[in-house]
Amino acid sequence: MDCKEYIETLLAADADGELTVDEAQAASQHVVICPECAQRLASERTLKSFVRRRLAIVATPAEVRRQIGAELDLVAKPQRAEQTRTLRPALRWAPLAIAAVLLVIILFARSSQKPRIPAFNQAIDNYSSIESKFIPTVSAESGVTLGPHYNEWLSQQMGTPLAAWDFDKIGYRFVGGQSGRLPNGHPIVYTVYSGPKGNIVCGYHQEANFVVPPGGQTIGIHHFYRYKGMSICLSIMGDTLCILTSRMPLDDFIHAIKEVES
Amino acid sequence: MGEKAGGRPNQRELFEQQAMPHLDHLYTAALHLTRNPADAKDLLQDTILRGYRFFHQFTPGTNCRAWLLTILYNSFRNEYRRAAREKVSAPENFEREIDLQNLRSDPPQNDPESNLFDKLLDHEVESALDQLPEEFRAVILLVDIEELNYEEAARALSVPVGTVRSRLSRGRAMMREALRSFAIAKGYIRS
Repeated sequence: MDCKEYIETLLAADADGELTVDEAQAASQHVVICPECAQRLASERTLKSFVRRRLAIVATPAEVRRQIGAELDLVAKPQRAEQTRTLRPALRWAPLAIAAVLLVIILFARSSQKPRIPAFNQAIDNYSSIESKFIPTVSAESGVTLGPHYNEWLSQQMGTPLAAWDFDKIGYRFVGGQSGRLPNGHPIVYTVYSGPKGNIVCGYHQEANFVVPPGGQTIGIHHFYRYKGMSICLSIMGDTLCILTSRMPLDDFIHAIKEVES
Repeated sequence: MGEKAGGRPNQRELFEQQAMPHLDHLYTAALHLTRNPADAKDLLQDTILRGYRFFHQFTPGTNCRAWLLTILYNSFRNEYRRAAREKVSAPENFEREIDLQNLRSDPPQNDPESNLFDKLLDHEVESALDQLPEEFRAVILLVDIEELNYEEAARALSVPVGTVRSRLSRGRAMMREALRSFAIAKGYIRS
């Protein structure tokens, strides 16, 4: 190893103690025979501690801290805040309120005829939140592509061997994957794809004894649904559920999935 | 799902215990990224509210500060950086702009540089960091000031670990040069 290689590839990580075992060995062999690089390493460590010492953590101003606390209070109690805000107008506009209540009753009666599927509600809630803000755990931007590397990550998160969908054939590119936990502590992984008709979000989670909801179209191992204005494709592999969510019309979505699988 | 988790009775308490102790670290990061107290305050508020909303996705036992800094940097990259009209140079431009060998070609001095740099005032040290292009500033901020390891910093920046290494290497060289320029300008050291 020469000085150029040491400086360019190892010096910073050497100072940070972030070298692999092999790299650390190569680095120490070089530093021991090169006083200049030994000095460079000392200088790198000195700079690091200088920066840490002189650019200290700044205290959040008390006013900012107070405002954040107040905002958290509001978010933590949305229902109570909503009731307080709407009480007076409701009294003032009593006739309108009565009409609104009637409308709600009619809508409720209509909607209650449809099945409620918590797994689909969750998929749609997440589709919307991903649409407004997606914070990937691994992403195409960071160099991860679909293939063995991503499948390995996905399988590791879910604790079962899985292979991610590839929608390249229908013009949807891989954006990234996000892992998290459900309120019951079980893992959930979302894979997001972006294409000509918006996004496709694929969610994997585990749910024992899940019963296929009625009212869908079954094609092969997939069950297709139109639910709350979205198209859904459900596949069940043992205890693992795969739910694909898209804004495509249902027929287009079925056609797309068939094409991907052909 | 975020809303559902937000409605759980102990969510606020857990968030107070695990996330809020990192508030000053987040504020410091927001200040160095936006370089503007008003934007830093907004970025901090966005980060906390987003962190609260997605707190069910945080894995207990992992580094909560690193998780919050990932949210903060994502918000900064998607919203504030555009507002600040800060451009990110393409990697090939970095190569042209910074010749690492040149920056480090001086034989290291016998006197520890920090003794010379110690004469610099705090705001001068701060300016040296804040002058760096965002990629380099961010990685120095996360590793040297916020004390994340390379893997955590890579996750926060959505880049591979190798990129953290190379940016850190160049960033520190640039930081040293910036400090030296300030020290020369102030007459603390001779050019």
